Amino acid sequence: MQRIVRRLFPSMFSRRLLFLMVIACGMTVTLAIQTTHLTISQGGLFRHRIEQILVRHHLIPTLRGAIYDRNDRLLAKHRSSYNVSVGFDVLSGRWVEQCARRQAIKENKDQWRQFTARQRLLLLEKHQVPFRQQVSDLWQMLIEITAIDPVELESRKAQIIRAVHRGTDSYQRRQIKKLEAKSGGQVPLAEVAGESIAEQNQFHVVIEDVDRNIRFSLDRMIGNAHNPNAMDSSEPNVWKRVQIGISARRDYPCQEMQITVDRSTLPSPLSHHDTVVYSVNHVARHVVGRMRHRVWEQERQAYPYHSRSTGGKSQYNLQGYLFEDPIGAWGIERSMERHLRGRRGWRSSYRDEHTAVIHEPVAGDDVKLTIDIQLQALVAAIMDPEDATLGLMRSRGWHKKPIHRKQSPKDGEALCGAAIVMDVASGEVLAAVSSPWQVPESIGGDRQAIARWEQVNSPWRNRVVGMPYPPGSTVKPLVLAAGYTDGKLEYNQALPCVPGYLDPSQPHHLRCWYYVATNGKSHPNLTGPEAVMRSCNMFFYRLGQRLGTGALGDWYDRFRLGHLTRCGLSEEIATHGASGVSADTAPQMAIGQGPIEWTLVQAAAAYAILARGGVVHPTFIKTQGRSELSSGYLKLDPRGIDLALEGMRLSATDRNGTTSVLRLPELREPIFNIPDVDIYAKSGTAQAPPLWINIKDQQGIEDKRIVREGNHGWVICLVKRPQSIQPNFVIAVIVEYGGSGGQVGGPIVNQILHAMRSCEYL
Amino acid sequence: MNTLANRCMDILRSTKGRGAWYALGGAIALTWIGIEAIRTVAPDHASKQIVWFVVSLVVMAMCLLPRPRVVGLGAYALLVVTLLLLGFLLIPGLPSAVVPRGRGTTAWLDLQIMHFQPSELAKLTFILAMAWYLRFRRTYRQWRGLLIPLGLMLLPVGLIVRQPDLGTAMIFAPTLLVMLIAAGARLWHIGVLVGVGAIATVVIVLMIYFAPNVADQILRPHQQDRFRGMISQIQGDGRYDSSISFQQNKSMQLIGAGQFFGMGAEKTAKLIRWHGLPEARNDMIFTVIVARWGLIGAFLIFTLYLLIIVSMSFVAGRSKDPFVRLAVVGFGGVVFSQASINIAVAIGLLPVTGITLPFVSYGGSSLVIMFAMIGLTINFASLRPPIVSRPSFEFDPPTTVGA
Repeated sequence: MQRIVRRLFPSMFSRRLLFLMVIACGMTVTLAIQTTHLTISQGGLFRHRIEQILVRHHLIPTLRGAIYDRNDRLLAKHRSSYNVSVGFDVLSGRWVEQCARRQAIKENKDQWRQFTARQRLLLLEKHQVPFRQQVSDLWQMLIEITAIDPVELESRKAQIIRAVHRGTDSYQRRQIKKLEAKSGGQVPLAEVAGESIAEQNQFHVVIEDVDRNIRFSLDRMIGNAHNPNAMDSSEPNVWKRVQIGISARRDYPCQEMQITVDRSTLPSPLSHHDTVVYSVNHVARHVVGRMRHRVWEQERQAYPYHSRSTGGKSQYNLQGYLFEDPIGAWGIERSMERHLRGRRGWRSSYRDEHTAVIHEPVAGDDVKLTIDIQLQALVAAIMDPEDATLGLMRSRGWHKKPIHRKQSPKDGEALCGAAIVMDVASGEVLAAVSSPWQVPESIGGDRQAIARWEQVNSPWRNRVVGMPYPPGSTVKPLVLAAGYTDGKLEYNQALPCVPGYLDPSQPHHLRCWYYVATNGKSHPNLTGPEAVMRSCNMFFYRLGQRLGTGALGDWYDRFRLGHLTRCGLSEEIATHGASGVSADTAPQMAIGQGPIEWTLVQAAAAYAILARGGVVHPTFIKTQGRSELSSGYLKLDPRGIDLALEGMRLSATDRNGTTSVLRLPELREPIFNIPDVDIYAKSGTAQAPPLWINIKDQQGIEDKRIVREGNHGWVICLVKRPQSIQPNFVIAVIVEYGGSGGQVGGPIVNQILHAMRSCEYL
Repeated sequence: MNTLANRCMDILRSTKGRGAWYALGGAIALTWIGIEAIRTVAPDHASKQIVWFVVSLVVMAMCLLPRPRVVGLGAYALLVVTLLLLGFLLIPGLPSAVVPRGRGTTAWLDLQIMHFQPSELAKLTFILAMAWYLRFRRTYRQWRGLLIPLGLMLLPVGLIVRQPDLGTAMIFAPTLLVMLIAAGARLWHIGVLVGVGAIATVVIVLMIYFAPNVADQILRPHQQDRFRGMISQIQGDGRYDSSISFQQNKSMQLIGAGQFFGMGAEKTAKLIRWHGLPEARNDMIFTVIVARWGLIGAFLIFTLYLLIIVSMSFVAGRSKDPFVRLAVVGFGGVVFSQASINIAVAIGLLPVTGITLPFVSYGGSSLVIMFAMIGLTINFASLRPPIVSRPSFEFDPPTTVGA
């Protein structure tokens, strides 16, 4: 090769020139290859990315659907409002630092590089003063114009800064992990310390829900800052970092209701011959739910607004979530989020053509509930533990609490509980109240006291669908019906209560409550209805033994015990059903103790099955979308059903019934005093596990303590209008650690029946 | 004027068929493309660039007059004047009316009618001085003989670095290497020098990552950032895309967006404005060209530079005068190395350096000096070859004929 070149180019200089030309050509080819790679291989992607800047997209918020009750009363509605947002750089102080730095460099540009670090610092501090004053004036002006509480504003600012710093930390940690995975070694935090997240460059809402007048005032201030004709338009102005945005507010018109209560029907110690107008707050809060203005990361990942396809192309889902989008937090707002949300629109502005294309938002669909808000408010008033107007949710002497338990509620102490009213024929829930539903004002503003109270009372938990309870004696009518259907009991057959305990070798185990209460007495031999009336444990122990664990479990399963009703609330839980239990638990299971639990809605649904003669019908709290459970039919013996209902009728009406008489200190009076209806009731006093909470003492040492113990008080009631063939409604009430079911729950059910009458259901 | 006119006629007659005119054609084509590209992003500056083009042609015409020997005799003096000008810029306390400060450097002299950049003049005078120094020597074929050329290079480089203008200073090294290669320096010596330079670059880059305190002594923070940004981009790490790699990232995207045929003037102008590409009419003019004319525009640029280089190579190859040979090779070296570095920066192969694209970027000083080089090339090509005792830069061992 060398010889050929030398022959062609005998001159060394020529050969050197040729060598230089070859290098030049090689470099040119390299540059050409890279240029070709950029333009041809990646040209399409770059063109698309580059052209995006000519189009500005502005999202148009959607209109969230409304929520109505069964009588078309508005429970939740969307309202447009305005938010005031401020750039994060102003919130974090970075704006002041940057402006001061620019100013300092501009005034000292020739000497800046020569200054020492300390000199620069002193100069920067001096230049920060006017900008800090600007920021201070900004906050002052916002407080004056919007009349926001300064403490609230400071709290909001601190919240935003905390949230963004948390997000930054999390992002930087993920970046470090990525780099460490790539490099295989440790990567210091300083490597990613300079990286920022989008939220650090965004505007954040500091003041929500300002009206139009305030908006116009603020718009003027912002407009002046941006005015290019103003004399100081080139100077930094903090008002340029303020924005007014359109937002959506959610109003709940029926969250405060005035209701009239007739106190003459209350138990004697509580009754008054008057009616009072009672104000109920946060009506149906657990059912309707509330919104939250922060979308969590897992929610954003499930429905992202922006994602990338496998090819790396950006995809936008208008129904997807952005960081500060409103989203249902609980209740129907959450469970029907996809339905209510709608789809946002967008406006595409084409900078080069000065045109815009608007894609209108699609409003969300309305949701209609089966709830009657008037009845809901009345039941909420009845279940309110804090207001002494009715006082039914306060512990009383006649509630027959186990006094040997130290943490049993004291007299006058507020109780927690829940109530549900359901239409038997349709399975629709007319009212569902979980109590308590808010922190009482008496707690004050002490955060520790509030936290402690919330730990004990769980106000945010929906006890109707989301709290499991042992059923106690409330299962007895169902067990009886099952026993007759399986032929384990003749219709007229009586079983003995004697000797008052099931196992002679264990006289302190599996005893009848009557044996314990009367210090050794037993019920007479009882037929099925009589056993339900008196709630005789021994009868049902024996029946349970006859049925056996397997059959009992099977029957509970058929009555949907433990299963989700899928009524429409996402907080609903499935509970411990009756499967996988040992054979010797049959007697306990037959009286609703042992390894079985149900929620209030499951209890009401099971009784509704009984009331319908075995027809299984789904339970609904909303009219949209039917439950995934299909209807079915339990082949219950009709005579067995009748006898079970007869037992419940006797329980409510016979003087020996556990749900008939209120045993007050000085007198006995009927629990139910509502005329012209047929009442079938069953009480339950379920042994409940104690409530433990963690408490930190003054030294900060954590300890577990029991704060509540005793028995949960149940009453489940079926009520029939005189003309009807089958019961029309089921009402279920539970009072946690309340004591005897009939004594504590009975008067509550009675008041609910009066409320239903006032709402013309009875 | 008569002298100039007669000289022009002489040149036309004597250079017919010789490659020098191709260099001029390439230069004019590049300048025209540059004016159109500048008009895309800064129409006001395009008009000024036309004025500078006319001035450059006048200066080029003036460079047609002197004989090579006269040019060579004055080379050292010109270099000294240039060094004095460079040193003048560094005198502390000079008013900004005389030495304005821009882009963080003191690189210009305010001559009222124009801002003149002595570092551009230094490229020309350095080449002429180096060509005059090397023309009859052989010492550069030894290691010791390379010291003086390197030392000569360090004089203007050291002053330019102090401005600071590292980008311009970088041009001198490849130019010197090109001249030494053409002059017959041993290739393995050159290879060692290049290797040492490469190793030094690698060491500096490693110091940026692992010994930043030491790196601070050599490079300023913004210069270190440029290395960091480029390496991150190569690794596909986009974390600096909005900060230190912003300029290069935007440049690459805009170049890519040009695709094959380009996006046209109007769209290119809008996109460059909206994307805020820094220095669009100066360092990133290649980006504007490719965005507007696409890959076709890029290949046209490559072709025109190659045309200039080949043309100058022909002139150097045909000439017998060693000074002319080296000077013209030096001119080609500076044009090509500067163009390559500028384009490599724009397409992301090198960190940002702040070097303009010869003949194309906006700037009066650069255009005038470049056309002066073209003028000298045409001048040197037009002359009858001198009678020399032996051909210059021929160091082949004699071949033995017979046994």
